[in-house]
Amino acid sequence: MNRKSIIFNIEQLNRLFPFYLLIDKQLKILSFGSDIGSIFKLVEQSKFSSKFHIITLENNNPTFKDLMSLTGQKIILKHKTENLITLQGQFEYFVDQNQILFIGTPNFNSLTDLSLKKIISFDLDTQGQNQELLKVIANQELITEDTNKILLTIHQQKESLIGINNFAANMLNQVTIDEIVWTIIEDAISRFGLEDCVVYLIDENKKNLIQRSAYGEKQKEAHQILNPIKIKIGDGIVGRVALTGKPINIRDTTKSPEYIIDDKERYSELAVPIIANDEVIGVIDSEHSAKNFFTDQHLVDFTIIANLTAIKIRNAIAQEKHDSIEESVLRNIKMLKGVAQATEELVSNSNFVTAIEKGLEILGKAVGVDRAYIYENTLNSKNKIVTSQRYEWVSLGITSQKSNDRIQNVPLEYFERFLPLLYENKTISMVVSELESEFPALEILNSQSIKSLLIVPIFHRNIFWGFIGYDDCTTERKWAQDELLLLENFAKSFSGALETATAAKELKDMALFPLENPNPVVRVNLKGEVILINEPGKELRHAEGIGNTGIEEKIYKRLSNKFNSKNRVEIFEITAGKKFYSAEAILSETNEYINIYFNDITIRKEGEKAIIQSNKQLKFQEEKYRNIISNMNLGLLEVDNHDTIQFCNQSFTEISGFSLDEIKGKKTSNLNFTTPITRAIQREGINSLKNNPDSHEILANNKNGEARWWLVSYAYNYNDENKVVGSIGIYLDITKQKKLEIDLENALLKSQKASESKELFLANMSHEIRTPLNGIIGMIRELNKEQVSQKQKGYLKSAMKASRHLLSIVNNILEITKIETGELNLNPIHFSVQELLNDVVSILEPQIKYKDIILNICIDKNVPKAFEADELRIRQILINLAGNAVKFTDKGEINIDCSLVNMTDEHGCNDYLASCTRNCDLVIGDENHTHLKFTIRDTGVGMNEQFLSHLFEKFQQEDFTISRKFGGTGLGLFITKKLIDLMFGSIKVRSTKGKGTEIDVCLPLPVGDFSKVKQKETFVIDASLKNAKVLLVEDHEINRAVATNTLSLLEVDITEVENGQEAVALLKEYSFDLILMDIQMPIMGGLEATNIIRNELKIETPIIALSANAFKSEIDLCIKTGMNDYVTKPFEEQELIRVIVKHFNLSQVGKIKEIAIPNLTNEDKDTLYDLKMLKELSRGNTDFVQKMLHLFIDTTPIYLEEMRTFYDTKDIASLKNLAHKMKASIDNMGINSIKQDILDVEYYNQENGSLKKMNLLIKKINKVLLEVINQLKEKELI
Amino acid sequence: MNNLKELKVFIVDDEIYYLNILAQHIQNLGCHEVTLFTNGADCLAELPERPDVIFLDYRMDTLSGFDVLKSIKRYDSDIFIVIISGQSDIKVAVDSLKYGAFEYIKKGDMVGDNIENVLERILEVKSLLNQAKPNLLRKLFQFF
Repeated sequence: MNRKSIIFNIEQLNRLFPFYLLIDKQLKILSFGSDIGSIFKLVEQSKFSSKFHIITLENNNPTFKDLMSLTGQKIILKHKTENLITLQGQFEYFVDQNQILFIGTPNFNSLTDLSLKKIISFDLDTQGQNQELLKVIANQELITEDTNKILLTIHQQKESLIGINNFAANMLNQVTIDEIVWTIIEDAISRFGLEDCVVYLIDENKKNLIQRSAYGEKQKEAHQILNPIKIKIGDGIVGRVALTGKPINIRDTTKSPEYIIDDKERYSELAVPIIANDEVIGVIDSEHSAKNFFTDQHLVDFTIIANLTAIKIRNAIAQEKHDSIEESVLRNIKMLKGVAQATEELVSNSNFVTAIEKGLEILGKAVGVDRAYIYENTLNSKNKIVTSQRYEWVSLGITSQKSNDRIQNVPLEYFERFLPLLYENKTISMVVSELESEFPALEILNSQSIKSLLIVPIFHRNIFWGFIGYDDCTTERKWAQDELLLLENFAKSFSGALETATAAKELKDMALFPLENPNPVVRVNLKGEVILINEPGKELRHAEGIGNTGIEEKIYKRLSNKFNSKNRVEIFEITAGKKFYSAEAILSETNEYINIYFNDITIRKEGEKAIIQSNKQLKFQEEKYRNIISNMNLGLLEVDNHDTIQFCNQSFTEISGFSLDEIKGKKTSNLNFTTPITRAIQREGINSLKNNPDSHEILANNKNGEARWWLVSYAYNYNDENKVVGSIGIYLDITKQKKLEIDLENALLKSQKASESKELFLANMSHEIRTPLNGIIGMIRELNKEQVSQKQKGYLKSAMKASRHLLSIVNNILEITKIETGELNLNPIHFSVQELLNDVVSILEPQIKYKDIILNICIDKNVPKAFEADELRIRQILINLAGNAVKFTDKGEINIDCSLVNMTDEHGCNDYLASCTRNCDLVIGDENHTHLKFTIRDTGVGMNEQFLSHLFEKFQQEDFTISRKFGGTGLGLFITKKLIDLMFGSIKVRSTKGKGTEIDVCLPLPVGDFSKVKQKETFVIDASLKNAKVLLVEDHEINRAVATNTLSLLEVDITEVENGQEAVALLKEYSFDLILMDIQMPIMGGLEATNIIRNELKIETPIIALSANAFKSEIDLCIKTGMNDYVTKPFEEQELIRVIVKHFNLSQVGKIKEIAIPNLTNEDKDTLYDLKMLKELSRGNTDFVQKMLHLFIDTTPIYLEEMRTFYDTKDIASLKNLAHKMKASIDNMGINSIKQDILDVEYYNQENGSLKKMNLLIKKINKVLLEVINQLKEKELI
Repeated sequence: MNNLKELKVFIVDDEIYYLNILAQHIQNLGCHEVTLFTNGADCLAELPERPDVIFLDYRMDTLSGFDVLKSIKRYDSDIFIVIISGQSDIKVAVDSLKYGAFEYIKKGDMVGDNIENVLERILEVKSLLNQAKPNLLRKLFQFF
């Protein structure tokens, strides 16, 4: 028997250990495993130390001896350039070859790293299914006691399985007892690192144990012992084991009472019996100098070794006895092979399930059964142990029972009397036919047509875990003892595999535990490179906010620089995307890694952030207000609930002149800082702040006693507990502003006074202006009646226009003054609304004639025919409003509607009431009053909202362009408003710029009597006025001329005197029919003269006052003095004539004939002709029209001359004839203004008219026709 | 001779303006041969021109329309005479019909329409005369 029993060739070595290195004495790598070679790109004969260094070794260039010294230790090999993968393994020194063998497993971070090296995980499968897990555990450094234990267990299991496998393989070739025994010892020594191992065999007479082979210091290497130790069965440990057949493991010999200390170097001893056919045939005895050396695993392993060898030894013994049992040996060999293969399967196959199934198949075939299976015991729902089939192999032609429900959850009671044996870990062999009929499992067995079966219990962690069953469906098989031993061994191997699987599972759970941490966990090496990372950690890697360089560059690399042997922990915080992490980086015990544990503190951080933000905000605001207060020079005064000053700021001291020390503790009232608020606080307590307005202006004295105006604002002052502890006053010195304000007020008062005096002045001035104006207008009027050139006519027109405008301004001012001084009284008469409106229209007619305007009048049928009111004023109102409408409308229509406000219609009534300005109740509800409404609507330029509010103010026009374009004084609407107010009426204006204006005027008017409505006063001129004598008393020469001119129309005799004295003197001698009397005259005024005339001379001749003063007071005075009527200068001709005629005794003057005085002074000299007819007739022939115009222009002056001549010669007949002639052309030329006049001339007779009238007619015709000729020349002739 | 264009028209009015107005009216109707006279004497002098229609203002200074009418009729009774009169002379105008005037026309707005109306009727009569000339002539002779 040779000691060097296992020799691997390179190929085998490579297959078994793809990561091996064989190193010779020169440290050259002689050969290497295929995988290690491909990963590190090794070449044969390269130097070991140039490629690798050993991490645990300080020396980077170890000698061969150094390596030898490491034999048996766990070492880690690191390649000098390739960092990703390290190798973990062991050196083994082979004395014979003087070579060192390194066998290792790769250690790597992830499979992806491996794939870079073109190694797939399959390449590593032969290294065991736990390789990956081991690595993970190692990386996680979870090397706690538990994991250590598990690792150890796994390691041991694995080693043991491999060992058994090797052992079984080795054993096949051994034949002699010595060979067998030595193999046992060699295996035990090499596998378990034993110091001593001795195998004893029982001698033939079964009384003694004889030492057969030994290894150890004492025994030396001895394949055969010359003087074997002889131990009596029952003596000592070994003897006892031989006697009982049970192994003994003494962990600490010093503590074992039965131990006889004969060698101080032996502290642990394990003795295992070798049992064949229930008979102890020997003992394997191992010793070790360390305490607690032998574990349970050792016990199991040695038992397996013992069992595996038992049959061989027995056979060897038998062979030694020449008791050859060939057949059984062959079968045993076959079985042993099967067990070996099956065990190998369990060891090498990474998949536990396929390993078992494969193992069952191999075993089933080797043993020659029909079915091999494994049952596992479980607790069912009733907490009862049941057993179920888990794995099964069946031979060809035998029904699989995998889907048989009856073999699942079988109660253990079914084993009946066999059960206790199973619990004792005894193998049971059954022959079905021999079983009693009551046996519970019989039916199940029969249903599977089992003839015989073997049940080998599996104990896992000393608990009956289940069993392996072997069915024979063909023969009633008796199992040989050695067969049973082999199968029992397999069961033990299975148990080992189970242990491995269980441990692996536990390990996996444990390994995954940190990986399932929801917070990022990262391991980096000392270069800052990530070695391990869990899922959340990966997210961290890609989170935004880390920067382009990535978290590795940014944090890990820097971090790695911070660590050294002293600084092992770094705590820091990072932001990743929207998350915050606190991180703890810890340098591992081995100084190899930095483990970084991140902790999500986003919520806390956000809270902090919010607080910081709000603090910032608060600070910012405080700063802001502080700035405001300091920059605005606002004084701050803090006062407590009793008005005692607590604090003031710098600004306040500047304002008041007092320093804080001076006023602190004093009361504001004592310092004359009292405000209405502080007074109220004193009186009613702090709560009175509620009722007080924000701020007050107070007049206080500063320290120097100067009076200062302060604007003071008070607010509650709260303490921390939100209680009012007083008030804070803000003081602003507004003395300057206040002064300005007072000045302004004074200025306003002054200007108001000035305004009043201005009006008075204007009123006086207007009188002074009116007097000369009368002369101007009168003279222009007279001049206009003369034949003047076209150019002169233009001048006259302008002069007239200007003077009339001036007059209207003066009149308006007078009107206003009258209204404002209450001078204006209403003079009610009965009038017809229809006529009133007709008048308005006829007055406006000339203005609208040449605009594209339609003027509509609509009077509601409910409106009474007559009212009793001041028609003149209403007319004035309507003309003003409608006049404006016309003025500001170029195109469209103007509607004047007249209706009643329905006082029973609530809406209308309210509307009206709301718009009534004042004293509404005076007139509303009076049954006699009807509320008459005039609505004037136009489609003119309109007004904007802003202007509407100023509409009724004096001198208001929307803008200057308006007055330029439309003219006007800006007084019309003011007067209108005043007049309406005077009548207790209302006016409402709605206007849209660019669209038009609508004005409602409501007037409460008493209904009048239509029968009392006076017919239109007519202008009468009668021939009998001819001889009437009129005395004109007027100091102003021009005005005398004006009056004389007008009076000449009446063909009266005029006597002119220059003052009242002269008039009185004249009247004493002559009698007159009428006196026209100026009021203001030198020497004797009109009033004085009148007084004398009436009272002294007792003359009742009508006296008509002519005065530029339009005040009612003067009129009243005139009437009171005895004058009969009153005409204001400047007067209109018609007005004077009307008044004069009125006061002539009608019986004296006789017949009255209505006559329309041609209004030749019409400012707006319209086109007097209409060529429509002529043009129609021409049918587009302009030559014809021109010819006709020339004819007209040529002939008309001749006719007019004739006319004059005929009139002068009183050739009435010719005159009439001429008129007839002229009529045709006048008609044809559309000269409508004299159409009737020419007819009147034509049909003139002595009965119906005076020559005077003829004169007027001729004058008018003359004037109109001349004008027409002018216009034609101007506009029509080409 | 049934076309207005072919009518030869005399107009007599001492008011030259209106004379032209009338002429325009007539010309508007299509008459081209229109001769104007401001007095009756000139018109009578031109009668050899054989006008078809004479519009005669009734009231004229020198020679009254009535006198002119009688003179024309004496000269050629076939000439159609239309008296133009003012509103006030209606009675006289109506009388003139007795002296051979074909129609009278009032001055005024409707003068154009009336002229047209009259001229159309004249054409109608003329065409009738042409168709039944002998009879009509006979009838006419029977009158005188």
